[in-house]
Amino acid sequence: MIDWFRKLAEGRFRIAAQLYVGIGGAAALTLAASLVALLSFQRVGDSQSRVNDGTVPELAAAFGVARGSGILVAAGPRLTASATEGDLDRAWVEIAPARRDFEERLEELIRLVGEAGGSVRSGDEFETVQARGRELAGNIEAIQQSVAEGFQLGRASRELRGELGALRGAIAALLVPALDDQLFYAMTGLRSFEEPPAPREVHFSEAEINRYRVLVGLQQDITIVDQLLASVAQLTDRALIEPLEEQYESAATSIERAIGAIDETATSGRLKALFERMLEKSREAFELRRREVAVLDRQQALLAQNRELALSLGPDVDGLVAASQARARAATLASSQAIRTGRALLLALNVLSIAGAIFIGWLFVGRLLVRRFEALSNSMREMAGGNLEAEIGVGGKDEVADMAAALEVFRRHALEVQRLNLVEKLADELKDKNAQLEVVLADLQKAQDQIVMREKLAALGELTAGVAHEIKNPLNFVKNFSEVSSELLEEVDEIMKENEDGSLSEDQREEIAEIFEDLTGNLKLIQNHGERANRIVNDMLKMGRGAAGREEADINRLVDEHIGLAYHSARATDPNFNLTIEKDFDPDLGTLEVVSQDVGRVFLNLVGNACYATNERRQGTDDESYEPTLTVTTRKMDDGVEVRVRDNGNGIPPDIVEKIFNPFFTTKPTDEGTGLGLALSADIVRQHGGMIRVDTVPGEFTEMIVELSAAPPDLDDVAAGTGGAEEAGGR
Amino acid sequence: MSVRKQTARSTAVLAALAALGAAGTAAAQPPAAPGVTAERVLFGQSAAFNGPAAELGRGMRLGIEAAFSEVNEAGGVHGRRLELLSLDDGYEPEGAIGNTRRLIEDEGVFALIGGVGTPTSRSAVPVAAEAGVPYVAPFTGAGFLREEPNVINLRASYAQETEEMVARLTGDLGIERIAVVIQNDSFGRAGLAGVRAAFDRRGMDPVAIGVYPRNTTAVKTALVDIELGSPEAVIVVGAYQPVASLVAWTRRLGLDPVFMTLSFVGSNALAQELGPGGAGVYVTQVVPFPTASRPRIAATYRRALRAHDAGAAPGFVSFEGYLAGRLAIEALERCGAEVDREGFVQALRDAGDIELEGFRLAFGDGDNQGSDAVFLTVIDESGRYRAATRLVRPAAP
Repeated sequence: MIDWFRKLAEGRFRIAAQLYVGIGGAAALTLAASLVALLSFQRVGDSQSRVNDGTVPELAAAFGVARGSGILVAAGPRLTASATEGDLDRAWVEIAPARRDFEERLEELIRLVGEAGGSVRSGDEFETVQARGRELAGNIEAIQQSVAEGFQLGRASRELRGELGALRGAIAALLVPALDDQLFYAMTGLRSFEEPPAPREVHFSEAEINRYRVLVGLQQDITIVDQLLASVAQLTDRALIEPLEEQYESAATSIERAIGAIDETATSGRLKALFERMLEKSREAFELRRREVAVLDRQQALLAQNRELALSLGPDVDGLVAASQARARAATLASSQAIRTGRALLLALNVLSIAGAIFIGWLFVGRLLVRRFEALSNSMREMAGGNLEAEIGVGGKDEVADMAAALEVFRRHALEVQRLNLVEKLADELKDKNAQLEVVLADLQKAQDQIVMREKLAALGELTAGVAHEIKNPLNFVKNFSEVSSELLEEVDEIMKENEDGSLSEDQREEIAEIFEDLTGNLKLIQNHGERANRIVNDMLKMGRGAAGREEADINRLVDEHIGLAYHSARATDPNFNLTIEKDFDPDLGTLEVVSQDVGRVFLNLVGNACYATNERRQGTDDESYEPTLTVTTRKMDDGVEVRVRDNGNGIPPDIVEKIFNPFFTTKPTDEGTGLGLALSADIVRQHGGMIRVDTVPGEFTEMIVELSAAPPDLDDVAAGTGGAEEAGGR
Repeated sequence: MSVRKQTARSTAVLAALAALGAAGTAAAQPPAAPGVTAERVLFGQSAAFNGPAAELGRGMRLGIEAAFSEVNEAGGVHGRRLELLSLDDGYEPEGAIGNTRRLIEDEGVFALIGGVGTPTSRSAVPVAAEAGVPYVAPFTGAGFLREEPNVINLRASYAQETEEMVARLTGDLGIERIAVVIQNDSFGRAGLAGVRAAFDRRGMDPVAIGVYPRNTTAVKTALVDIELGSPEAVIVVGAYQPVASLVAWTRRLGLDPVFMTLSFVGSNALAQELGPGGAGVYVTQVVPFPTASRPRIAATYRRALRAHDAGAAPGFVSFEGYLAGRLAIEALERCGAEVDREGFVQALRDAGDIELEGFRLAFGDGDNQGSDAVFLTVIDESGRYRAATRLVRPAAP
């Protein structure tokens, strides 16, 4: 390892090593960032799971306990309100699920608190809630038991009341007649129906009256006991039982005393037994009532306690919930803190990583490699460009430096070789170039010829319609006069056959002579028109021929003929087209020595363009009054002639008027014009020592002015400009 | 309408009827009133069958049953047999309340009939009224029952009986020293009120008032009380046992006022209790003599009684029971086949005059008492009753 470092330090610092160091550094930074992120997420996750595992179920259980406590508190009065034991049982069965649910919630809460560990929890509150909840659940059971006990006591009390009522009836059944009898005896001395009345001193004695008084006392006391028992049965305040019982005891004492005073008879014996039993049962009734009231008191106390428990359970559970919420908040806070810290750390590490990567990139790739490669490449490019003079100045200890050194060696060798071969190489190159140029020139000429020929043929084709029209007139003449002549000859033949002997009369001779005169005239006309047709065909043939020599030509006739050809050619294309042609020919124009078919083609071209322009305008306008008009003027000039071809077409816009003589410039659709017409026309006129000018106002007119010199330059000087085109173009 | 549609509509109507259920009023088969089925109509009776007033309950039951048997033998009313369910209340208000509740709620009787006694009726009527159950022909003449809308009274009131007594005493005998002995309850007070009303009309006052406890024979205190007023006549408002006892003891004391007592006393039982000593005791009756030939219904009664119980002797109480039964039958017949409790009461209210074989009854709006007839009878030496056409002072023993 140390060796490796030493080698690294001493030896050449290779690109691979440099890259490894760079990538290693970046990887180390990324790893560090990932570790920080991992740790942060771990902490966030811990906090969240603390919230989820601990606080949330606690809260749910606490809520359940709070809700359940309310239900249980409401259940208490329901139990106590039961009118019968059946009601109680039903209520108890219905309450049971709520109670079970409450206890389960409570147990769950206690378990959760136990799991969480009291020290980190608000233990006191949980214990309070737990204790109160258990008490609440227990109270409900106690209430149920108490109510059940109340029913038992009530049953016993009813039974006792029934018994007391029966006793009371039995006592009354004995006491009332006894009283009645005693009073009657005291008053009348009659004890029974049969016995005679007792003496007055016997029956109206103190003893008898006292007996009566005792019975009345008993009657009163038993009534008092009756009322006391009725009152005590209604009492709900335990304290008030005591004074009633005291009153009862007084009455009981009084009864006991009275019973003691009654004489021993069968009736009094039964009465005594009944009273004793009555008193005993009455005491029981008091005791029973006391117990009943105690049970009722206990129920009320339990209900009140439950209400209080529920009331305090509410804030306790609220406290728990608040504590849990606080813990949840703390945990959330911790996790968001962890998120913040992690984020900051990550950000810093990312910045560091990016900065490191940029630095490494800049250092190794930019500074150490790219710049030096660029230098090397520049050197190579210069060498390739022939500059072998500049030295290659790339230093260092790595592979690039090796390449630079090798290139330097190469450069020096190349410099030597270059100097030796330079002259020879230049000579050869020149020779080659010349040969190539010649070939190109030949090709160009061939191409030009081909183009011109094609133009010619195209124009010829176009022209055919015009030519055909021109020829048609003379041919018609020829045909008509031939027919007339033929008829005349038949006439002659008939005249000749009029006489059997073959002789001719004087009249006949004269007639024949007249016919012959007509025939002669006809033949003359046929000849003239045949010649005209011949001339037209010759002209056309001349046009098709490659070259022609100059000859004397009547310029007016030349112009006139080509106007006709061009017009009819245009009409052949568009039969709706009509053109008013005004000719103003200078009769003194005379002849000029020109290549007549070339010059004719120029006029053909100009008139064709005029036709096109006027037709365009006609088709483009709604103006009915527009009348396409062509004005052709010839003038004799001092040194030649001037021909003006003026149309009232659309004119030429100023921005293209400069370009109209350029070859291949055209405004016509691609398949209609070649763009060579005006260019060739200008060439032809130039060959005849003249020039073409243009005068135009857009939207009004175009006037092409052709000047032809009377003394044209030597034909050979302009031999290259042969040919031309009838094809319209250039506008 | 297509058959299909009709079927659908019928189904809908049936469904609607089913929805109306027991409450349905327009249903083709109206739910019968409680206690009424196609085969029978059940009546309930709460009366004394034990104790000092037991003869009254028994008599009423016997009479009602005789009437019911009679009509049942003849095919019932609108095809329904009439049945009677009797419960013993021992002449105690508590018992009457319990029985009435049981008869209405548990047994589902159509109507109550032949209740015996004023305090018992006073307790039972509100229970019956609350349930909308008719209370027919109670064996009492208490005034308050003449104002209850669900009560149908057969007999004349106590006030009418006492008026008859006072009228005869003052009219026939010119007696003005009259004492009153009453049972210490609402029956006694109802009787006393009747007597006082009769006295007031004549500007008189009772010379003495004696009181004895209900369901006892302890009447001697009352005897002592009235003796102090030296009455020429004593009107007793009580049951047969204490009345008999009072008469006996009064006579034992050597006193011989004219004794008069209300129909409620149970005439035959009283005569039996008194034995030979009962001669000259006057009893007002609200039904004709059960052994007489007029009105015709008396004979019908005797025939029905014999048919029902060959060993039973005719008597005022069972005759009143028989008339009560006949009244119920009359009302049911007037209701038609569709019987309900309101219609039952209304049938009698709307009937106006009803004649049960010569025994005339008249009802109307605000008049729920059928008969106003009071008959004064007297026990003769043979212990039998006869009509008291003219009062005589009893000869002193």
